[in-house]
Amino acid sequence: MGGRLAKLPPPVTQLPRALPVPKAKPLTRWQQFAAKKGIVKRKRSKLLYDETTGEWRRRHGYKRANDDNDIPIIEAKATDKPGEDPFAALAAEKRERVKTNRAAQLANLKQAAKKAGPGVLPASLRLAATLPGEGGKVGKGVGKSLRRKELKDDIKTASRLAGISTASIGKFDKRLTGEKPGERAPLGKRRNFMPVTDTKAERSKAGSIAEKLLKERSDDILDIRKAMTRMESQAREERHQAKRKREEESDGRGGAKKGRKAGGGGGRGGKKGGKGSAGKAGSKGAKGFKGAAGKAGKAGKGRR
Amino acid sequence: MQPEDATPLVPGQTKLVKAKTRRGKRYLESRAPKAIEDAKRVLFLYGNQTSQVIKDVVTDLYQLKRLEAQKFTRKNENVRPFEPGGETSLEFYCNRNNCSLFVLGSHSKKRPHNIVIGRMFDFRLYDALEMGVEELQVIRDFGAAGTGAQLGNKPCVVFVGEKFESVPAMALAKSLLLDIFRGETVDNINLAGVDRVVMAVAMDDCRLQLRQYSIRFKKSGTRIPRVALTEMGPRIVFSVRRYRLPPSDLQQEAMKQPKLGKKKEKNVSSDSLAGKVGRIYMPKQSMDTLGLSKYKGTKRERRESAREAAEARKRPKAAEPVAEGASTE
Repeated sequence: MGGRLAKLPPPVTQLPRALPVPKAKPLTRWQQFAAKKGIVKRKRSKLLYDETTGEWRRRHGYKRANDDNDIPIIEAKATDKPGEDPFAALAAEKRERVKTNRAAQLANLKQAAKKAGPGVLPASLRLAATLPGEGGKVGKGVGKSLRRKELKDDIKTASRLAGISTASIGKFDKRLTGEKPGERAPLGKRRNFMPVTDTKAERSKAGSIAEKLLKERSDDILDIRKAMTRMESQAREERHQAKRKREEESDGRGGAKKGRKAGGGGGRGGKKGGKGSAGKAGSKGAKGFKGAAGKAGKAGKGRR
Repeated sequence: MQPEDATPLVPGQTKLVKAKTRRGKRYLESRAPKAIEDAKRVLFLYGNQTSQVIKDVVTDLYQLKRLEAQKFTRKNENVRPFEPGGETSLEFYCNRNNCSLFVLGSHSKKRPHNIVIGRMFDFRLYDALEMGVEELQVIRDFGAAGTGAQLGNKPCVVFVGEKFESVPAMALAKSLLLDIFRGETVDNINLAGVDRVVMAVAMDDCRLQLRQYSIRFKKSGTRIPRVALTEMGPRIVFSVRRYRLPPSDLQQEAMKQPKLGKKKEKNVSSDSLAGKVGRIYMPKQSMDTLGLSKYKGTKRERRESAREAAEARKRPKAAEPVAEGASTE
């Protein structure tokens, strides 16, 4: 092979690729765990010394060293039951391990496909679960369960259509065994008519409409009676306080100062509240009903 | 393997579908997306009608790319890359044959001697250029000039004319021709393997001439040989007709370059005492056939052969005093 090698510089003209750039695969469950714990992969030797045969054998594969499945004689333990076959038990254990291993691999792939899309799967695999299912979901409700669900829905629709394909749109036909009462009803909000003789339903429906309206407009609506009683009680309080004040002034400020002070404070507090709300109610007039009623309601609540 | 694959799964398949043999697995992995891609394969096919000119052009181009190409012999009616629904067959064929480029030859009264060169991204039609063949001289017309050039070698590609930058159709032609003749991406190239030059000349706004030369290195006084170019390949004059540019989202995807990490140098480690250290692995040597270095004169075989030759000379002459004198030496 003659000729000298020339090192080429990196390309300048950008040409489009044939396939998209390969995506990085997300880590599997074991890889995440190992990364977290700091477990590093060790390289193991290909050959292993087998004690039973006394020779060097391969670690994995045909005629491997220390093979648990190839023991010719298994000694019976005290805990063994008489009818059990230990060889069969070993084989069953192996099958279980293989099954769990494969399930774990599948779960890893599904997780990877869910996270990063179907492009991260190895090229030699084509996961049925990565076909887009309902609403483009990956892996969920796809496959066998989806097919079953689709079939069930299809059958239901077909039976419904068959049931309403009569002159009376299925209204007066006998209900089949296993069919629920609402299944052959015509679909659609406006197709359901209320029964004529049932007044309870009608009343409750009308009442619910009224309640809804009231709730929406509850801020504007003023309970006149409540407001009147409140105003009256406030006026009564004011008169009471004014009377007590006149009494203390006339009696003199000697002994009942402390008590009066407390009373005065309490009264003043009460007065303040009363005056404030009454003033507000008075000044604002019609407009202030909202705020006043709200305030009155709140004050009332506090008092209670 | 994208879910929008042309080959749907068999209904009822819910489990893992994987390659059944190791060979199958290797094949599928070879078709998977890679960071640095292999050479793009070309699919050569014919449209509804063909002419002799078109057949010659397609066969010639196929001969140039034989290992990295697939040629269909039959005519295909529903392959129309410039019509909205007409690319599905083409995409399917390209997918099945793992081809990312196609050359479609056809002939009709409206578009005589028509060639469409196109590209695929992810086996969906990316862009295409339609050209008409105006003049043609096949490889056979140039005699044995092309016999020096080997298949699979990367040619030098030359674009002459500033129209290749300014006119969009010509820019597309440049990109497509580069893609066809590029071959695989390499870091180093053996200079003895550089034996072809493909030249594309932009004659005017919509005409393009393609020529191919074979390189011969002749003796010159210095270490650098004298390069002699002889025209070998097809000489084609194209007239550019329609073209189709890629949709912007596909273009963005296709132009993404992968992040290439630095290549790990194997067998090199550094020691604080010894500096840069590497290991040399020697094969097993058997002591019997080991060739040790010896001085020429002391070789036993040489001495013995010299003695024998002298004795042979002595016998035919049969002159004793002369022979004795000779033998003592």
